[in-house]
Amino acid sequence: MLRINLLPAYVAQRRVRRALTSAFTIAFVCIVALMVVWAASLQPTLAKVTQQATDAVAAKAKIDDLTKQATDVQGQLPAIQAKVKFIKDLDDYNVAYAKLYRRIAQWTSPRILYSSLSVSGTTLSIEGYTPSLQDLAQYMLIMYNQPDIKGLTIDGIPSMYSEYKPSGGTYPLKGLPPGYIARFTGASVPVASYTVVNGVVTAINESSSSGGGQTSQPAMGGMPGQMGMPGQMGMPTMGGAGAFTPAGGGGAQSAMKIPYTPRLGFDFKATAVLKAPITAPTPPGGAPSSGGSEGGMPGMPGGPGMMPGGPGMMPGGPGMPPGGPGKA
Amino acid sequence: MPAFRLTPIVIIIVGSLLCIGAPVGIYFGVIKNTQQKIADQQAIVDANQKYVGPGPLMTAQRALETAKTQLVQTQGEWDFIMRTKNPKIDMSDRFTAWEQYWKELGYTLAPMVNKFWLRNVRSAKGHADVAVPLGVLSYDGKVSPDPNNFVSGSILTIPLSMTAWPQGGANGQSFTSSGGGGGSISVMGTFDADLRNVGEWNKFSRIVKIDGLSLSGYSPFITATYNATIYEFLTNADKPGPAVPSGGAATK
Repeated sequence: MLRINLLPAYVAQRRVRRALTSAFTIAFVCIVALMVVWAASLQPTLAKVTQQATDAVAAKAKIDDLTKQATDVQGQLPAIQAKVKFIKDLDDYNVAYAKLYRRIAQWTSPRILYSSLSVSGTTLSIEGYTPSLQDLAQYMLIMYNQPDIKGLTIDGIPSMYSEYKPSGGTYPLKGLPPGYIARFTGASVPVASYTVVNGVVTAINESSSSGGGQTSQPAMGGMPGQMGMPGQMGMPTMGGAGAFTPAGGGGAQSAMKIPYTPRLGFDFKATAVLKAPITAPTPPGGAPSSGGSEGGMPGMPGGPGMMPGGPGMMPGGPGMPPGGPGKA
Repeated sequence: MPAFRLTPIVIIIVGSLLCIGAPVGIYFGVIKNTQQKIADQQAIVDANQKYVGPGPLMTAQRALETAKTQLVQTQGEWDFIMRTKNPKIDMSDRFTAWEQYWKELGYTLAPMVNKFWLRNVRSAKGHADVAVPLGVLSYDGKVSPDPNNFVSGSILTIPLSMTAWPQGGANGQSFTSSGGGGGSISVMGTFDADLRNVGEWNKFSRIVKIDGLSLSGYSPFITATYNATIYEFLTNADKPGPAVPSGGAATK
């Protein structure tokens, strides 16, 4: 059967328009609502992350501040540490030479006598006496192993006995200050040198080149045993007959005579290089000032230290402490 | 002109435009901005993540405490040295510094050196193992009568030296010192006594440098010669006071 719609077309169109409008309106509203919900759901996340960022920035600022304070405090340390280190290094430096000399002495054979020890820069200079070439050779062998020095050299060795041959000549006093000798010769003025004449050592007054010495007192004792040879008593020069026979006859005396006993061995000089140079610590903070150039404070009295008196009869004690056992 | 007619096709077109345009606009206008902000804040959080939490804060606090402790200890060591081994010569006032230096030399250092020397260098009578001085110990501290800016720098040096004994000693003997002036000191004694004398200077109540020790002679009359210099640190040397004006001629 045919369907015949006698209504005009605009009636059906009106229905279609109404349906389409409703559908699109509902769709539009739903879509917009969904978008709004989506946007709204992001806000709490944003707030949370924003708070976290704020907290992180604050924590960083605080830690940076603490770090800066620690850095500032540590920055003050080096200057103070340098001063404290200077003082401690100075204490070590003050005894460095003494310790070095002790160690050198510990490595030295007891048959060797030192008369001088000094350090200049990195060079250690030694002057001493050895009773024989064999002792000197043994000394050198031991000292080559000494841990503080290297490059030990012995300077020209003089002919043995030539310095002490009683053939005459003038020899400087060694080791002892002139005034000390004077105490034992009875001279009233310092004695500067002695002369060997006919096998006898005479003391010559420093002030007179011709030997016009003053001999106003008898001797109290002889020379102490030959400059303290190790382990040996003083040589038998003390109070011997004619020990202080004035030279010449009566009247003006020219010199005091001391019996001469030839000494074996010879003096030697040695030099070595320090493996670890002794360096003085530098004061921190610039060069020190000496505070001006005028005037000067008076000296103070020193201790009551007098020259050692009495023991004119002192035996020749050890020049230096006995050396330690040399290395085999 | 024909009137505009809202036909179904127009409604479809307009409706589609609105249904597409609205969400696109909302997305790009609101949601995307919000997402960008979230990303930016998250980046800040990630960059500072190592500072977050109790661990990093405690570490920083501990480092600061350690540094402070170290500073206090080191400063304490230095303060002790200054208190026991250094006079107070304050450079914040130059004139006062000169006065303090003058008094240090005349009233403090003199008896101090004398007392120290008497304690460590004795007569050999009855005691063989001592170091005997070979002269009179003095120091070479110089003082200007004009205090104008005299004390300067940060450290003062005062050399100690020895001059000869006067002639005619107590026993009627006369002899000259083997150590003389120029900042050197000489003592005579056994090997141990001489070296012990050198070591005693570390116990002196001032900062002393002992230099150039040499030994000569035979025991028990070994002469030890060395140089001794006193160092004195000035207080506030890094921020000294203004210079003292020089005095001019008197005017009526």
